[in-house]
Amino acid sequence: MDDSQLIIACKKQDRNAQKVLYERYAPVMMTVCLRYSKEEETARDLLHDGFIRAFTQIGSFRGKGSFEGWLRRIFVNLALENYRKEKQKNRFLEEYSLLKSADLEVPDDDPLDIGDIPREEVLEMIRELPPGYRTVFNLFIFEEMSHREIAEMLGIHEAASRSQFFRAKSLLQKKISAILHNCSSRYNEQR
Amino acid sequence: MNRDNDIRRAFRAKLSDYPSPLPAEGWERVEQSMSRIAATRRVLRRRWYAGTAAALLLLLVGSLLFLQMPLLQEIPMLTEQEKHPAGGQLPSAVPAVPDHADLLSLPHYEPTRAATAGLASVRRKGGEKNLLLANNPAGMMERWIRQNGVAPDRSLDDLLPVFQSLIRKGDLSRYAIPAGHIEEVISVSSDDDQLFAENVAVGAGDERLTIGLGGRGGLSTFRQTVNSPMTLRSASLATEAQYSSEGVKNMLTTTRTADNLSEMEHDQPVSFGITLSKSIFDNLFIESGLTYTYLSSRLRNANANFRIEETQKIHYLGIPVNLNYTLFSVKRFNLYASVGGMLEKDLYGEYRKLGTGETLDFNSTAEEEEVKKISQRNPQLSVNAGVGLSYPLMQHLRIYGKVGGAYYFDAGNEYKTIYSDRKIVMDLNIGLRVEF
Repeated sequence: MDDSQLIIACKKQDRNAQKVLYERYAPVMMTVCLRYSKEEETARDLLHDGFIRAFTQIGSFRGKGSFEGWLRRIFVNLALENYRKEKQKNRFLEEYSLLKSADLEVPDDDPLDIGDIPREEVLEMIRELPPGYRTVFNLFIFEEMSHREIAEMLGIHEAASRSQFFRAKSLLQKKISAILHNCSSRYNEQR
Repeated sequence: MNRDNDIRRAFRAKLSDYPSPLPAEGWERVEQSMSRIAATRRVLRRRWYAGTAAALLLLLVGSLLFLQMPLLQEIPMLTEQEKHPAGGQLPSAVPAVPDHADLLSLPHYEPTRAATAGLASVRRKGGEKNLLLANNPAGMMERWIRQNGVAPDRSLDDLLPVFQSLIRKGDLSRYAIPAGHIEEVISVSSDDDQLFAENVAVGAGDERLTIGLGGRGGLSTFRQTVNSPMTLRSASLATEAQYSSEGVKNMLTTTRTADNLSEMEHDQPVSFGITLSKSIFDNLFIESGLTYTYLSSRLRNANANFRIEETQKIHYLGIPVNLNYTLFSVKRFNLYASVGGMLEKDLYGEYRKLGTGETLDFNSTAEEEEVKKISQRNPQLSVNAGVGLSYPLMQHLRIYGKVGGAYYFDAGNEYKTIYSDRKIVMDLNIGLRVEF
């Protein structure tokens, strides 16, 4: 059964079709949720809430674009809502203050070479970023938003978006260097 | 920027289709939640149906009661009852009638509130006994007798204007009048030179005018999310034709990409108005006036590289015409049903569009801003129904609240509003009514 048939069935609240759609898209959407969440439990909740929202609002999907794009947008929006809620609780202030002085190193010209790093480790690196950096990085890299759009969406200044992306890159570069250094050390030891 | 694009490509290639392991019982949780939501929706739907049915039933019962209620109640004259063989005794509910001499001799005659009808007798010259039926008999008679005096030999013809004046001044309302007898007014006929009970229907001209000041808030919004580009203008206009600049057209090419998302939202309408209502029949009021309504809408078309936001604000002025029927009263609350319609026309509208985004090569940004006044071509017609409660705060001031809904007919206008997209809008009316 292709997507369009499944979507028609889902619009009629057909539970079997919903299950097939869940099994088809949940693994990739789980990656989206994990990219935006440090805790796996939060990612699981986002996945659950995202599919509930998708199934209840599937009537608004007209089938003119990619269903996966529509679905991913729901999960990203949910992740952003969660981010705003957490931000309101000032949970991130401590992280920002800790990182304020340490993250201002300018990344070198190496454009974050992750070619040899396993996917799960890349995902883990992103998840370990502080929430603000992680959110800006995800929106800029994966949702391909401009800093202006990110700034509007998160209610921050455009310069702040650029700054957080810059710091995210800096942190990732350190992690990538460390991973590559470990790999090369192990490789040398094995030799 | 190019280096950032390289980072984008590298990370997207790594993770965009990377499947992560799913949580255990992930689907079961979703299924349970969906079942709960479905159950809740069923309950809400049933409540809605039940509420609608109850409102319709109230309207139906109220209408039937209204249609069956005679405008002139036929109450037999007590003089007729007295002529019955068994009617030598007055009904037990009616207090015994003192002779007029006894009545005049009572120094402190206090009318009792419990009295539903009273009888007084006036002995005419010929010795014939006539009975007077009144809703507030004792009080009115006492006052009348004090003012004019009653003597057996006094001609009632002379007193007729005085008595009528007394009644018209509204003294009737100063005393306890049992519900349901408000239409009974004492009058004196000069033709037969007798005091007698007569039922007189209160004319419409005698009813009070009521001025209402109220506000109305919609209980529902409208939200739509689709993947294809939308606009707040009518679907009959091509989307491309509405974004004229080259920069935005360039951005629009990206709107056909898969990840486009369009969200349109109409806020709840907010209204304020002043109305004048007048009784046309017993318990039935016609109401009209002026109502101002504010409508606002937002729309966003966006994908990874661009965003176009439209906002729209329209101010309407409408003329409502409603029929309000008081179904019944409980303690001091009046429950009433209302049906009617409204014709609205926009006074002022503003449409604002802001388009920003990167072009396909990520090296430049296109931007367009448009602000203009707008006007809807056709007036908006709607019909509404609702059920409300009113409660007296002061002697001539009542607070009221009404829950209802309105259906908006398709006016074929250029700019979309909640009227055109939602059609049926539930609303809550709250206000004050001043009686004159």
